[in-house]
Amino acid sequence: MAMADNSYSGIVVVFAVFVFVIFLFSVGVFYLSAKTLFGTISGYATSIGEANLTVESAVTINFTTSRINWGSGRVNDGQPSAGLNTFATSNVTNGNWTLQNAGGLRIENLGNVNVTLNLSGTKTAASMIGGTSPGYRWNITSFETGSCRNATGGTDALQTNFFYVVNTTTALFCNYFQFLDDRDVIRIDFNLTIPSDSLTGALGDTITAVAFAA
Amino acid sequence: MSIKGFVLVLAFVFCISYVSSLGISPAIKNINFESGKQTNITFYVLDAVEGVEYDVNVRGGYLAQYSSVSATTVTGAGSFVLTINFPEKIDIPGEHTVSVSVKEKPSETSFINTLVEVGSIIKTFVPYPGYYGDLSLNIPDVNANDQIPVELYLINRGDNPLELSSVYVEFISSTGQSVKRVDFTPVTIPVSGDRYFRKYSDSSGIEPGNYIATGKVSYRDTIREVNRSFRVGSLFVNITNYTNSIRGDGIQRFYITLGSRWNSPIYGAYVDVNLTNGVYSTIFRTPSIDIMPWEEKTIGSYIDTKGLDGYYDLYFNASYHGQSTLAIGRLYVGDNYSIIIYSVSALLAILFFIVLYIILKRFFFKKRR
Repeated sequence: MAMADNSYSGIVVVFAVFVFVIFLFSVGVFYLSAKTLFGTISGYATSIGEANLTVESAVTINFTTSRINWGSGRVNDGQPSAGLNTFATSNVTNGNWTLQNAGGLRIENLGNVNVTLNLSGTKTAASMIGGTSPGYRWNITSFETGSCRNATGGTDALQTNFFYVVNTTTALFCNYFQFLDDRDVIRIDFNLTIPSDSLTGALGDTITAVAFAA
Repeated sequence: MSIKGFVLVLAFVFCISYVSSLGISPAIKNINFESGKQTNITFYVLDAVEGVEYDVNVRGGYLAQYSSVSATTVTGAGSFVLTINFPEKIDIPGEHTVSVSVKEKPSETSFINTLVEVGSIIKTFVPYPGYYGDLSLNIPDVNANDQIPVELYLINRGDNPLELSSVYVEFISSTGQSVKRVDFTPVTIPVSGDRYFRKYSDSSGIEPGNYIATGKVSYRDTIREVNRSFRVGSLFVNITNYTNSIRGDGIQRFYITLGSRWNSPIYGAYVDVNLTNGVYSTIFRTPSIDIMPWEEKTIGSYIDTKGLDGYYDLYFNASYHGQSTLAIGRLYVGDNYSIIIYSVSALLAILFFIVLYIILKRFFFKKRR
């Protein structure tokens, strides 16, 4: 009887080991199944997402005010010359021209990068106006405060009260013409001296603005 | 030359026949030198006028001779391709620039024009011999208890891979104390490769104030370092200035300057001002203003000084976002003597001229006799 008991218990042990092995196998199969299943269930995030977005840079400038017109006129009798400028007041002296739109030319940086701004005309005072001691000068200012920054990032980039002789070869006026909406407009004012013996007829020039990414 | 009667008729015009607006994209392109290979970059013309033709130009230094464009003109909002055929070798390491531009053509319908030319910059980098890491750090101003986004950027500019041994950013306070260190996992950056090291740092233990962030990377026996300042803001508006003297009776302007130490806008800040000298006391409130991050702004208000004279104590109470700042000051209210001063000056001037006239008259009278 005892021997019968022993062989019975041996069968039970073998059976128990067999059941345990099957259990381990089942756990493994369940783990793999669950992993596959959860990977396909909507809303189950298995990794950190990454969104990539590239915004292309662009250089765009616009002459928002591109016309200055003094109309027809002449130097007053007895005066050696007349003065014309593009300011709001006292824009014609010793002459009978009438400035149609005060405020100079205006350039706006419409892009999404800061740019360098080079400017040039094509004529000198002598070739455009002629006569004795003509004057053809311009003044470049930030129409919106801080529109132009210098090479080191400072705001004193433009000499606001200084009229330069208009250059016929392109010259750098602004190292960092900014693109931010509240500081992206530069103004160009002109100051002309028309001698009484100047050229006659319709006079003018081509102003070129060159902008490159800064 | 007789000028009298000389009459000239002139018309001065600076104008254009169409709107001068023009753009090009991309604005900047950074590429690496690849010996003997060809690179093509497409550029798009923006804000162009339909049907109008624009000139395309290529300029630059050494690489300009190896560069060409697919078209010398573009019509309307078109595109063109820049091709750079790199040589086998460039002797000078560093940055080599080529630029492309589009330019309006002078109008043939008008003698006078404004023209626009816009250009893109293409920077080609030729590796330096040896080991060279180009490091930059970006860290913005934040508010106290915000997460601080730290971004360290390293470009391998050398002709050998950079095996980094340590990468970290340290925050240094205005007293020189190191208050935080953000460590990154060191990696190897291949030749012409780059790597951003980005992490959010919590600002626990960081007091509001000014800080220097120092980014450091180590490779071989070299430590490369970059510094950048940033501010940690606190919800605090300081009263930095005020009107301390008023001369004259009646309604007078009174100014108070507020300085924000907060890295976000503050809306609707105002100041209650209590003016007293122990006998007389009055309270007035300024208009409310919005203050941008770290901005200093002046509020203009009015005060009736009728019947006021002498020194008064001022108690300011600035209110903003449920917080308040208290400050004290002193105001002098006095008579306006400017009219009297001007009148006396004018009388003295008249007197001077009368005396001068009498002296000169006597002098000339004596001489004639």
